[in-house]
Amino acid sequence: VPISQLDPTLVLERIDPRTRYFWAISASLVFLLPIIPLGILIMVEKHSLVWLLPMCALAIWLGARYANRAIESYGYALLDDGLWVESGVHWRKATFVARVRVQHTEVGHGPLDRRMGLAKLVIHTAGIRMQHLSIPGLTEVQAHALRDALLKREGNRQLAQQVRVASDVALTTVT
Amino acid sequence: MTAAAPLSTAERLHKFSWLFVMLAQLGNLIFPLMLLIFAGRAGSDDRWEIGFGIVGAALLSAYSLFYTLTFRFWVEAEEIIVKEGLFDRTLRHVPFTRIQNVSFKQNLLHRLMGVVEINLESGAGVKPEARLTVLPLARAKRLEQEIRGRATLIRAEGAPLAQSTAQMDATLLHHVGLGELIRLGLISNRGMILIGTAFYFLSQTRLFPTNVFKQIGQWVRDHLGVVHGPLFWLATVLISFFALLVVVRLASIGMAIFSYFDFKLFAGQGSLRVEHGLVTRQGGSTKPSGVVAMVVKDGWLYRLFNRQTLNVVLPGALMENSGNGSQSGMRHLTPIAHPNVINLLVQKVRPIDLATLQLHPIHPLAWKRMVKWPLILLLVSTTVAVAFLGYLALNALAWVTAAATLAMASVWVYGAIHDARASGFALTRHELIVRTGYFSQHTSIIPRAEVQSVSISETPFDVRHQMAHVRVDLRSGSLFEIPEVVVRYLPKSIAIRLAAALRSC
Repeated sequence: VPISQLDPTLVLERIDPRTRYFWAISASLVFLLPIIPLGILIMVEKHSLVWLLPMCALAIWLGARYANRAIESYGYALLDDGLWVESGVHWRKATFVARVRVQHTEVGHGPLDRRMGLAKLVIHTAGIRMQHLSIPGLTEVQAHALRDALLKREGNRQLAQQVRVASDVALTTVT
Repeated sequence: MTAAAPLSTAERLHKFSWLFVMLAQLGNLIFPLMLLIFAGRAGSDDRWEIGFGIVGAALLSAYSLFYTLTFRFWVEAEEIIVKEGLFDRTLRHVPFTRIQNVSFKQNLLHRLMGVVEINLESGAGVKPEARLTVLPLARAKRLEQEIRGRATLIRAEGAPLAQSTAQMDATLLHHVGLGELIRLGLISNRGMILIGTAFYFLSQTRLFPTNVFKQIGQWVRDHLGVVHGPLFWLATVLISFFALLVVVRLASIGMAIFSYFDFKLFAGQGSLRVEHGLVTRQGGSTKPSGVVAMVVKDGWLYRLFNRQTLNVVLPGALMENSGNGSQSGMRHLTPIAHPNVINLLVQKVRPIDLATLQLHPIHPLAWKRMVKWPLILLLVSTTVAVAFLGYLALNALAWVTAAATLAMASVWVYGAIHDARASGFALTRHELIVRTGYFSQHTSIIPRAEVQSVSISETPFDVRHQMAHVRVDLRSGSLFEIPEVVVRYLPKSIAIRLAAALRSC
């Protein structure tokens, strides 16, 4: 099933596919959770661990599949007026933060990220429910470039004004 | 008024300020102290405790005394400067234009001594920019006027300073009388918390009337002549429920009067000011432009009395508060008023006419989505329960359960249909208005400039009907008091366009 994009008019950039290794590990662990009690039950009843192997394999396969889907569904677009980030396999969510609303940014890497030369860009706003927006799976260069592009402010106000007039018109034609 | 003259003379706090500083410090220490007292009871040596107590009290009084004696503030042309601290001295410059809210508090002791505690709050942070504990009432009023007046002047630029405190007299916009407060008590559920807390504490002591239920049963036996059987239980339960309802309502009325007695809203000098309270008077003032959101609260009880509540969300100073996790200073433009009055008050802050406002509706099938799964779960669980009761030959109880479920289900469907009909959004040039709910309805009015981020979301259940939800994140607001601003169950195409329109600020 292809993943539906929330705003089909946007062209989304994808994150680095190498991210799937971390995601596959965490997703597999989640799928393994229900298997553990089952495994203990089988062990007590049958005194054998043979059944556990295919089940673990299944969990890892499901985890890997899920991670792939999650990466396919993750996308971002740097727009004239701000940043758009879409994510979620089944529960889809797209968030937009205007350039003028960016409080500060962070480029972070975990130990595994660093080995692969990957980074995560975190954008902080002054909001209360969604204080930060993060894009994982960027290369070091991409993360810094995206941050710099996001913080560039020339002509912003004028641009925002144009976008606003256009979107107002769009809305009134709908309503 | 000649407030402009003593521009940079350093002023001190009121001469009894140390008392209030000490009480505030004691308030912070109340839990460790209680622990000490209760834990100490088991020990035998009382002299140590008394000794510690005396030393502690002496240190505390000395600290409070020195703190207030060394505290200075003075008013400059564009800012107020506060010098405070005993060991770690700070000199803080607070520009008038940065001060969004001024909140004040006056408990019984403050009122007896004619003083007031003032907090100056800016748009950010959890602590006020400056706290003046305490000032004489007249000086506090003048200070607030100076702040408001000069801030307006600085923005206007070039006007002579002498005018700064002229024409300060604020006009009374709105007053809430006792009758309205009784209505508020009948509508609101605050009493529930009070009664719950009271029950909890009573249950920890021997005072708890464990036999209340038994007594009600006895009363039913004596006065209604029903001795046993289902009718006896039904009567006992109904009467207990009714008694609880009355007690909770009475407590709610009491709390409404306690908190909002003599609620006044003033307007003047480009600011709005409220004050309220029976014993402890509190309130604050703010600039209308600083309001992050307004929320009109409505609901079935509100409709019964033809009243509404108007809350405001202000930036800053959220965590530091009067102790209940809510925002300090100003929380309402009115706790209760007729919808027409609410509409007028809304217009004091934003040019929105709620009476004539046309909302864009949500998806026509939204009500089905709202009730479908809750209804399925309810019906399945009830069927199981009824079957089980039937198996146990408790036919009467099975019937009651089935009937109660049906009643509940119809109320849900009724609520969902009305919710879907009433919910919607409107987008003006500078504001977003979102209405949601029916039995408990909120209409949020949000300046578009306050929107920090916009998101669209869809669940697997939305895909079939092409629905999506639009959420808006705000700069400030108590998570507990203000519902999340979300336009639910929009047709997807509209959701995308709304999000696009909200992108710009």
